[in-house]
Amino acid sequence: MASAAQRRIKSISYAKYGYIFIAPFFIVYAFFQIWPLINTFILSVYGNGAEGDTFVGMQNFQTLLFGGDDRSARRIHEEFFRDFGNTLILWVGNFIPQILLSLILAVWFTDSKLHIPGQGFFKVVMYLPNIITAVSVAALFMRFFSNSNMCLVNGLITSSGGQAYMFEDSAFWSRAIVMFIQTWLWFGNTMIMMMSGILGINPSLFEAAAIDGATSGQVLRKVTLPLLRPMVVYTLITSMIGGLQMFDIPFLFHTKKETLNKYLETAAVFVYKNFRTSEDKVQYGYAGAASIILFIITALLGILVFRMNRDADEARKKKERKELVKAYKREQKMAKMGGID
Amino acid sequence: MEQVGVKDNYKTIQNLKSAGCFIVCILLTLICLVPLYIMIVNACRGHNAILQSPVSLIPGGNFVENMKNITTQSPQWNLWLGYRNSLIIAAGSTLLTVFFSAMTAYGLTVYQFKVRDGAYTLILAVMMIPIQVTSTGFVQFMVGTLGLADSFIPLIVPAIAAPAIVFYMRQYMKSSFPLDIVEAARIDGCSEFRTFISIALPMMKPAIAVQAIFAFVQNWNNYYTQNMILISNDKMITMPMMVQKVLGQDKNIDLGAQYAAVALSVIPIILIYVCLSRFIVGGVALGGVKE
Amino acid sequence: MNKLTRTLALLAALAMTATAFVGCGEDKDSSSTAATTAAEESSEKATTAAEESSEEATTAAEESSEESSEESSDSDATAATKLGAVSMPDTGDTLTVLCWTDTDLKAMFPIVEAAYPDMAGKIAYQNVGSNGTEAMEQYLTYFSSGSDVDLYVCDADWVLSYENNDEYSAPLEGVGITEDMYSDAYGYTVAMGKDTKGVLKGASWQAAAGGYCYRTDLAEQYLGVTSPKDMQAKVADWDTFWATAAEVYTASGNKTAMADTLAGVWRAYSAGNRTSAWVQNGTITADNAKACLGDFISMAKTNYDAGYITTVDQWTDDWYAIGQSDGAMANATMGYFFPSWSLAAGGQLESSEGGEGGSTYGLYAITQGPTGWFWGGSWLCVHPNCDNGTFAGQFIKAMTVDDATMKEYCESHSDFVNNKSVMKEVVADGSHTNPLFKDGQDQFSVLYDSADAITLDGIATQYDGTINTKLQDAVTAYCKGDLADEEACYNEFLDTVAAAISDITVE
Repeated sequence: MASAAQRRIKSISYAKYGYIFIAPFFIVYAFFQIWPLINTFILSVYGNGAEGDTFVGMQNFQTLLFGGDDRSARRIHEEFFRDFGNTLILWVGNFIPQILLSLILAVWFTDSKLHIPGQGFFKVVMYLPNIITAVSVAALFMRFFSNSNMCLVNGLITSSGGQAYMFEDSAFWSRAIVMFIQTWLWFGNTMIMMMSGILGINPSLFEAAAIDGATSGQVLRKVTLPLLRPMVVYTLITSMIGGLQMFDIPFLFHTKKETLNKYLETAAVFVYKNFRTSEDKVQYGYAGAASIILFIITALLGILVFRMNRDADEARKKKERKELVKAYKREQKMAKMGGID
Repeated sequence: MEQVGVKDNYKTIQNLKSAGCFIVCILLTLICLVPLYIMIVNACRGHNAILQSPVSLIPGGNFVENMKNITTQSPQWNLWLGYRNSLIIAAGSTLLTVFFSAMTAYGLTVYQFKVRDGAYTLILAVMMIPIQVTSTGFVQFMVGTLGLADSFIPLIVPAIAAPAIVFYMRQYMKSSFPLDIVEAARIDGCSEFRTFISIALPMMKPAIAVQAIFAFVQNWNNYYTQNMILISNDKMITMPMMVQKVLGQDKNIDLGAQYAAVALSVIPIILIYVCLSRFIVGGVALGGVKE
Repeated sequence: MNKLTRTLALLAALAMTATAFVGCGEDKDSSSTAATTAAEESSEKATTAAEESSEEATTAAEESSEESSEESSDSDATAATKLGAVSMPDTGDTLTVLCWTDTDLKAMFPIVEAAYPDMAGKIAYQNVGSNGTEAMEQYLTYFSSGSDVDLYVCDADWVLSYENNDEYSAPLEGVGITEDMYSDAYGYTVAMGKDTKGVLKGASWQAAAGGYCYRTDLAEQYLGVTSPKDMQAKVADWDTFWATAAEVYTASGNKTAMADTLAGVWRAYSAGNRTSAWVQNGTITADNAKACLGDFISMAKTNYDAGYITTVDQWTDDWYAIGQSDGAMANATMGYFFPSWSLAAGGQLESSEGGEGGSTYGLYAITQGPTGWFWGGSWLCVHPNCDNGTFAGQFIKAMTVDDATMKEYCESHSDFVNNKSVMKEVVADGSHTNPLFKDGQDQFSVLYDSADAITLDGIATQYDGTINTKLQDAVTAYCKGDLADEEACYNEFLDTVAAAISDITVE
């Protein structure tokens, strides 16, 4: 009885430190980011181009989602959906190979029974692609596959008597190349994250499993993966957010200047296109509305993932806390009643 | 006798498995390294040689000349200045990012307070906002309203609020930071900040190391924001901006010089990474011993 | 506690929103006014403006003086040598010129400083962005930062959108530059220097006339042509041009195309054959679009399919490779459509020849081609915050008006300057040689007539940059077979323009 009360007092008296610890984050965030954020919401209900200061309500959302009668609205609607489709295709196409590859590698590298020589070297090298600027990566890969007759692959084709292939004109190749680049860029990063997650798991659990004679497959399924869940959730969420906002490589991967590859235009490229072009083309309304739709979809997916992976631990703790409070209240009541008696 | 046979069998299987893994790793390593190798090779070849055969496995002897030619591609190219500016921004924001993210995550994990869940949800929500849109408003606010054009402040200080890293740190702490330690420290009379700095931070080393390298790389390569803030002072422009100025050139292109510029921008970060990576791999391993 | 926090947060948010509204309000106001005016007045005003400017400088002078009522109405030769009354302040220290590539400005500074010793050491340039498109965006950020800016350089594709916005550009009259000074300039540069109300806001130092550059060795081999004059007869108009293309294609064994890119053909075709503005009264009508396009779509498709136009795009490595006689794409094209600024040392022609020592170095010659046309060019604009009025005026005058300084610049920098009498002198002098051309052919004498032939009577609008890009994209897609027929190509073009520019209506 006394200990419960003590604990309660304790948690209250330390609460102010919670505020102090998170204060810098929120102060800086409020100062540097709130305005642009609010601005985005405001812009989404205002017009485009010269009508930037006219309030149009939900018009932009309606145009994006359902199109309209004139050329402009119809085309904007089509482009928005095309770009969203591109985003989903590109994200799924790079996330699945990426997470599988990183998970397998992380398990290998942390498995004490496997003896892979040069592990340290491999780990270092596999993360390497991630440290190169997107601009350089795009430029580099376009030397291999592109619409140029002189890119590596076309060079090989033509020197063996074939006809140069225009990779960017093909939806399949454009997307496959970008998916490959994204996986190439990020699998090392995800692998390190997974490894730090696996190494964060109490080694005594692995020992216990080994003593119980569990096979490595069993260890993976019964110990590693469940305990790795927070890290997998983290990767899934960040990759999803990153994926829905995929911008750099799809934006840069085109040979012809100023003309983007229509198979690679993502939702973020759509936003950018309407937000940061020349004076006579800015369409803040569409850009704002598109980013809010993007935000809502991301948030919904995020909530879904959280729901599916709701931390059992957290739920149990909450339950316990409630029980404690209940018990405490009951005790008080009893004491009161006793007092009256 | 039979026992030994099983053991041998087991060993062979493990060895075969290891060999298989090794081969896969070698393949992946090649895939990772070949593009970088080609970049370095081409940085050593002349413009016309590259035009005639875009890819070669043998480096030429043109590196020094290419390096000199970069200045003709873009007069703003200044290697050491670029390194210095990028280093200031990347190191400054990395320090701020990891320290304050750890602090925020610590606050959200260790303490029970009313707005905690709300604050956490807010951080998650913030994480999901597309950068393309807020960055323009951000630049308008920084440059137009606050007059912080050509200043490192808008590039470093906002790093304090890094939602994704807070999220990561919190996930990490939840899975591998025992709250009892805080209780124990309190009983020993340790102040809350001391507990955070001398107990929590060292315990979060693996997470910090991983996020530090990510943050460093991200800030070193953050061309997008830098390019909008550092608009007119040639003394302050960073490495990626210089590279972009070289690559963005559309008259009188010198491919050798362009490759050299890209290579020069990548090499220091590779070196830093290789040096730090040992520490990181070690740090990650350190994180394993707990409780 | 909780309530307090919430209230504070709300207050902060409100305050920031208020700032947001103030900041945005100003921006949007001005641009909307400018754009509406543009929409309403573009056609008539621009037409009159261009007519004024082209040949009859006196009428123009009268017009402008009526509007300003500050200048004397005579426009004799002496008026052009003196800087007009400067109404902008002279409080600044240094004249700051914004640009994205400093090669031209570096060549200008010593010339200006020699002509105006009081400016010595007081001119500075500032690189903003690394190419034209980036500069167009970043100028705005630079302006908003409040840093010193007096003059800035604009590209042909977007100069009008800057001129049409009074927040970004001030009338040149404020620094003592008036339209009557440009009697010797090429008409189209003056037409593009004016906003929709006809106020002169930009001055160009170069006339970007274009010609057709061809391989002399291939011409001799396939056509038996030995001089630029004979070649010109073979490319005199579009019909002859494509007939010659067929000849070349067959003679080369289906290997060599006549034109370098679809975009190149369009640049020449549109600047030479288009007679009305794309956007009239804020609308692209179906009839007008068809009139502007002429037979370009079918011409492009026919000749692309026939192999007379290469499949490469401008500004790519391939674009340069097709002009050489070795490598993967040897002899893929007979020639290029190049503007004057591509022909100087270090320009696109040199790259297409493989640089000094390249396989086709010095093997090209230039002709006028099927039509007189221009591509690009640079304009100097005055920022409203200019605090070096006199210096700015002197700089503009030295580079775009005065004969002596412009001649010096033309000779030292090999640029085709925007001054007919200077160009006439240079051509008559005959001493100019260009090592990139066979026998050092002088491109100025060829382009001299081309430049004269350019008319832009009211057909330039600020949307032309976007419209050009979208048209080229649609036509390229059609040529590659992504779009079924001409109608689909035409619709794709109009759809993409409509989606990109919400300020104009597309029927």
